[in-house]
Amino acid sequence: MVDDEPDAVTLFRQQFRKEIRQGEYRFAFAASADEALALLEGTAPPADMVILSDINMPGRSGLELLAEVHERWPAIPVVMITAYGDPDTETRALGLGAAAFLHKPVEFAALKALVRSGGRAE
Amino acid sequence: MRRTLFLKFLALTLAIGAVIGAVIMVIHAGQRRDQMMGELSAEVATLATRLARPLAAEAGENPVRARDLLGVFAGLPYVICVDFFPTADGPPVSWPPIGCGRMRAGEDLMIPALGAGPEAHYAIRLDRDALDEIMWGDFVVLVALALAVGIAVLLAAAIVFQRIINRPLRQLVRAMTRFEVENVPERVDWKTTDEIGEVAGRYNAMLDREVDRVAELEERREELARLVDRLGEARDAARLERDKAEQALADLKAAQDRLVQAEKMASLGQLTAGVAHEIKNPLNFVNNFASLSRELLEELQTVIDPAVATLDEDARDDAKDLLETLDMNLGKVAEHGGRADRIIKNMLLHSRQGPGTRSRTEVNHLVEESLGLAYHGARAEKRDFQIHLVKHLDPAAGAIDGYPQELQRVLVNLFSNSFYAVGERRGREPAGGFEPTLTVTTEDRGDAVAIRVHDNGSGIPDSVRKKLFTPFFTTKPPGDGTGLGLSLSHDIVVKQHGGTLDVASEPDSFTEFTITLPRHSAEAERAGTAEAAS
Repeated sequence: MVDDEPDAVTLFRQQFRKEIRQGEYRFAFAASADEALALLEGTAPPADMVILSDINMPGRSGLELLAEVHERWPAIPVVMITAYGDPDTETRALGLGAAAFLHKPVEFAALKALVRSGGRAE
Repeated sequence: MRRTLFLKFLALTLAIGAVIGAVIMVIHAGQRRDQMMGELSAEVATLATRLARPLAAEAGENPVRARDLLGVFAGLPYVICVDFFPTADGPPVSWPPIGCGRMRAGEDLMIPALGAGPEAHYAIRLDRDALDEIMWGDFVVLVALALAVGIAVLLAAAIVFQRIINRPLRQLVRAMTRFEVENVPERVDWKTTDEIGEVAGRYNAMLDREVDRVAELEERREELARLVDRLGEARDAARLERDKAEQALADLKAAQDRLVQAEKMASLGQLTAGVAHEIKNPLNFVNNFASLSRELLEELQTVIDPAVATLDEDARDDAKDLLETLDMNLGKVAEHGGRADRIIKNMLLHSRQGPGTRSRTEVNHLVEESLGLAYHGARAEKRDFQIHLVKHLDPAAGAIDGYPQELQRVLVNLFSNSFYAVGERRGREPAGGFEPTLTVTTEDRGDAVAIRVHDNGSGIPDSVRKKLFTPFFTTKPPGDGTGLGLSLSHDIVVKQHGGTLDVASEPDSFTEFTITLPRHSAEAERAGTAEAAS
């Protein structure tokens, strides 16, 4: 989960509280694109990993992160989540290889279903 | 004039004739008198001489015989009396016997009696009155003759006058009148060498000059008329140009106003977008955490339910009440957060860049669809909502180039406002007396289409009308409206489609919004190009 808002971490942690408690998912949080890449490089990414990333962040944007991840770790699905849901950005994100594009406020029921299916929107 | 001249001529001729006649007669009368007197005197003298001797012989011895001899004088006319004096101062022998009496010097003829003695003489008195009578008779004859001659002369003069003066003058006058009144140049045919002929010749020359001048004047007049025409054309053209310029100026002003307004709206839109985005993120957290907390509360409830059940009744009720209040409060947070979210979504719509897709749009179809949407929306909100809908859709309304989704938003917004306004009025009017009615009319206007939305609702007061299209301005109670509907509609119609949005209203009577949309809008095309480029 990549988001510069610290409360986003809290929100996601609480939303997936049950699943985390039951050991169904493991969450790793990064506050920027660089932090996320460092995290990916430092640990061998698990096979069923899904990246949820914000777009507007200080430093490198979510789209840049998406591009790099897609290039270096093509197997990892990246779901973009943003408040600026204009069609143009969505087209660009999908063009860069995003697995899905979600708008804030996030509908967590949909997100849960998406994550359960491995990040790929059906 | 002719008559006066003729009379003057006659009078002059008469006067001259009279003077000449008078002079002739005076001279003639004098001569005649002298002649008659001379003849008479000679006759008397002859007779006197012939009688002198016998008279002288008889006078002494036989006066009666002498008197008889004197009686011969009675044979002469005009002799009144004769006195024969044989001596210078002896008594005369007289005929008639009474004699002449005293002598009248200068009147009586004194004639010497030759052969009767040196002193012998006659005194003879002539009847001058008779003489004058004879002379008067002569004079009358003379006057009659003179008159006859005069009349003949006058007649001749009149004929001459007629021939040499009157006729050419009349001809001249007629020619002048013809020229003056009928404007027909007529030359005078009079070729004598006298003054009249000269006048006629000069008149002809003058006429020729006048005709030339008239022709020249006519030419000038025509030229002037042409100039006046050209001037009129020029003036008309100038007026047309001025009107065009004024129209252009008015258009420019309108365009400037629109630009200023658009600029204002654009900067306001940018500001709104910025503010909305900044608020949207924290608001998302509020909403997310609120709904999450409700779920967590629910979970908490299931977790602590067994524990709560073990509490005494009072504490259990208290715990239950607290949990319910907490849930209700979280519900309120979610509800108001949702409201704020809707406002922000509207604000973002107001300022967003991409207006959807531009396409050919059937106006009547769009109107019907929007009306259906608005009506069902209103019914869903209020089950007892009722309104009389009237549609006057012009079959010639046809299609326009535009953004159908955006226009639908405008129409739904206007219809919803109308529904709200009639509802407001119905709340105030006595039941049954008021039938809420909405009339929607489409109208083909050549290269534009007009849509009129008319309702008989509460109307718009003048104080409100000015602020009608101002963002965030609303007359609805808090929570009922965002104050962005009409502002957004104005932007869509005017800025996006290059149309107009006008309003007419009378409080508690009606409100009518009129949208005009150009069939092909340059502004809409620009917006479309801008969209494609971004």
